[in-house]
Amino acid sequence: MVDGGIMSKEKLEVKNLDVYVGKKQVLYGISLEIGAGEIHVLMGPNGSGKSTLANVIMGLPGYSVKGKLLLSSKDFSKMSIPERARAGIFLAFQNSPEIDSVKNVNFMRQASLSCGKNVEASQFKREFEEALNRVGLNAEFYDRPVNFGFSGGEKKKNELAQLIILNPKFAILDEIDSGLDVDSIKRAVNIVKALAAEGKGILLITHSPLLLKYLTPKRIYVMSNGRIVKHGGSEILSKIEREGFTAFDKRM
Amino acid sequence: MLNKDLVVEISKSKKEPEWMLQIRLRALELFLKTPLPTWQIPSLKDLDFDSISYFNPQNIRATSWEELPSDLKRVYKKMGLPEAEQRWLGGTIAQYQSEGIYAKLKEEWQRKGVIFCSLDDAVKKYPELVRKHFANVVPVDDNKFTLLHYAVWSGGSFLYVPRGVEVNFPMQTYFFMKDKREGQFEHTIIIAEEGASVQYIEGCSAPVYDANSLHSAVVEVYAKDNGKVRYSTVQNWSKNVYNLNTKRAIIGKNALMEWVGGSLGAKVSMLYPSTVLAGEGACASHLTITLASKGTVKEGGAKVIHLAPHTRSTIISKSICIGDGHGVYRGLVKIAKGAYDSVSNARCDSLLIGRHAKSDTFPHSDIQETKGTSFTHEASAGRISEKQLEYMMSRGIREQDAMMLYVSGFITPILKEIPLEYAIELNRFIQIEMEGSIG
Amino acid sequence: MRIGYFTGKAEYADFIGNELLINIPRDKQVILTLITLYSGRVRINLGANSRLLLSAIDMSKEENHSIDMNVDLSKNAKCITTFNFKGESTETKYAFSANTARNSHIALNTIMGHKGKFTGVISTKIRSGAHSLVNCLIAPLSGSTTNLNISADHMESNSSNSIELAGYAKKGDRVDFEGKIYVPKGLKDVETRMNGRFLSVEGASVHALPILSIYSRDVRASHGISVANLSIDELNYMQSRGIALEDAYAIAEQGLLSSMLNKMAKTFEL
Repeated sequence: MVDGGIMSKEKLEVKNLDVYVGKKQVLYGISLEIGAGEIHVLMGPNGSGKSTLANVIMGLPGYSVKGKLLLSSKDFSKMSIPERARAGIFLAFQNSPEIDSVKNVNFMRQASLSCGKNVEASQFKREFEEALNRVGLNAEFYDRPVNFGFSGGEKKKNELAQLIILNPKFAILDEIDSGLDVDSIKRAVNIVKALAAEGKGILLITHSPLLLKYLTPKRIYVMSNGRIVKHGGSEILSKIEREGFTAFDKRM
Repeated sequence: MLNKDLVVEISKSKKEPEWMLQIRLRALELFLKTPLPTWQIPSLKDLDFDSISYFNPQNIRATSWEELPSDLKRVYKKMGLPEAEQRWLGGTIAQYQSEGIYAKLKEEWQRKGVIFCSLDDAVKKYPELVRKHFANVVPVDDNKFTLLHYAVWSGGSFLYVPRGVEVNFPMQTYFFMKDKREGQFEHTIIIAEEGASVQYIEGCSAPVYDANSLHSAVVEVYAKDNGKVRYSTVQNWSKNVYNLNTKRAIIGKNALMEWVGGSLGAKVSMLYPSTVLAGEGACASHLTITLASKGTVKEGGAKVIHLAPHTRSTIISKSICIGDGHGVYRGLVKIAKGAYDSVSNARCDSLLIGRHAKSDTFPHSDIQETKGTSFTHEASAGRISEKQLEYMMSRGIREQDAMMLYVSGFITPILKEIPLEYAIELNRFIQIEMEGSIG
Repeated sequence: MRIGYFTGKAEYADFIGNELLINIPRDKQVILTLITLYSGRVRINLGANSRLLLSAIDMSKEENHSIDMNVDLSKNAKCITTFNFKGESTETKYAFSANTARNSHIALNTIMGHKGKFTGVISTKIRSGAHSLVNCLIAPLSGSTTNLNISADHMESNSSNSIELAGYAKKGDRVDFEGKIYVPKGLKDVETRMNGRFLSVEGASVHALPILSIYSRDVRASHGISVANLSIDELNYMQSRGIALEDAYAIAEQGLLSSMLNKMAKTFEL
């Protein structure tokens, strides 16, 4: 049973990660550590490798990985994608695929059952409806085919609803703000804050410093060309706002 | 041996009237002169007409567990069907109803004037009624296999619903055929008089072994003005069977015809249920699920002919190809001159699950009347994309379960129209077939 | 009899009898315009990395007119051909075939504004990394017959194809269309589609058979066809807004035309 409880001493660690796509190296020596209840932010321009890192943590195929991936000090690099999900890792996709033949509710029901969340059908129905409501999706999204015909913003909201239902320990949110209007961004931010307060560790991937106006991350990492070129507290935010990412990468 | 003597013997043993014998003889004569069709994809060259047993008042079924092919035994085991269950070996219908309920239903339909009995009986008891409707919707010489059928047909149902009578419970063949099911050359006639409505269900979702390898049944449906008929069938014949049936409906003004089918078994099947919309305002809906499992070629489709104005038709065909299964859709939508303001929509999707699976789609359309008419056809073929699978797995769902979830969703639009008990077994059967061949 | 006239760099094109040979050497980018008047053959060879933009108009007055076009592309070559049939022949035959090489692109835009009978046979063979685009606008003069056979043969993995048809059939017109997409066994990563939209006016007849033969599973294949007349409801609605009957059809036709022309224009962005 996945439990993102407040007193958890869980950690998600990435140590010295080198990632290759075929013969080409795409990530160099990536290290970061996310503790329970912490919000970490990964920033950088397009193509810097942020989504690659997210995909590698989730276990998506197509990459050769060297280095360590640890969940509460246990190596999870050999685990399959569903096993990682069950262990408590969640990825909100940058571009979530559409599955036109499966209804949103059925998909979520199957997923939550697979993750060990065994509640009665009518209770699940209520929980899912609540989750949809909380993220700002109306009741019709309950029955609609997964992501099919959803706008960009609606897809992001759907990812968040899934996160709420599956209750993971760690969540990687890849560009959760794209396609959302200001009100929806504020709503998403509140959800992220609440999830962290519940004890979940969050890695927020974004290339828009605007999102961070409303959050206080524990740590900010700046990526460029597959490397982490700078990390620090919120003090580096103002520098990014003034000078953009180029401030940190002499090679750019 | 397929010859005149055999046909005469069949007719004699049934004590048929002369007109029926004449139909049989004429059909046989034409059959022997007609060559096999060549336009289809599956090969029919292995069919040996002389080695098939045409005359068997009792069906030939496996009478012992040992006789069953091993792959069938495996499936039965997985479906939790006990060895001792005679009804599976007997090839009869999924459900068993108590005698009491059956008697009550029978009393009700008889009171309303509904006739429901075997066609063999109806030929003798209601000769004028049968003669009027026999071989009119599906003419004797429609194709090589109807010629064979009309020569040697045996068994099948006769369902007649008088004017204005609405039958609220589905009519199922096991009502009178609990032990005597003769699958292969059945002839069924369903007549809904004006304003009448009825639902007819036959078949079996669980696999049924039949030593008879050629099935050439014919179904004729009449839905007269304002009549409604829904014909639901699920077949799951063993992998030695060639299932080549001809099913057609002719419907009148404002009438409604619904074909709902699941074609799960057989080695080769060629099934193209067809509806002729003869009266203004008539509507037809064709829903099919076809499973092409390993080593099979399953042709399915729909033929809809709009002859009158203001008519509507909908075709939804979903096929799943596993292993090296080959699914084929052959459709024809014709909107004849004069059938203005007619609308037809067809949708066929093929899911290729096996690495060597194949799919062909041949949707013919012949639009002769363009005033106010509209015809659309959409088709897709391919597999569940890697991205979709990864997404489902990232939510903790195992690959196998993800595929099954996708497939369930894929067939849901049709599954929900199939009677519940068949639907559950159909779903379970597809799962088992898929388990055997993911990858 | 020469097939017609062309404008553009003479060094790349040559007439041999009634054949026009166009050879684009590697890395060159060429624009040619061709006007066809008589029957004949056009053979186009594109060298590696070359580009050809061929704009052709058929204005033949021959009774029986036939044009055969073959395009052979080398690696990374791109060929965009627009062929506008405005001839007055009683019978026009057009055969187009394209053979792609790795990472090459072929786009064919055909506008059929013919009179009389038109028979078009278009076929493309698509190799790895190659893309085939066929756009056909069927807008003939009244009382015509159009027979179209379009096929796309995927020869290798990682190939893509798009066939788009739009047309209208007027009173007395006949349109016969057969399309075939073929993906053989053992191919991966193929994306292929075929779409046809026919706006039919009373008195026309349309036959269509779009065939999809998919023998590999790592494929995204789809096709759609629609043959529709403005429905009685749509007509009533437009008329209730003051639009006369003939204008309603004209508006619908215009919509069809402009969306197809837009698609064709996009091919120039390649």
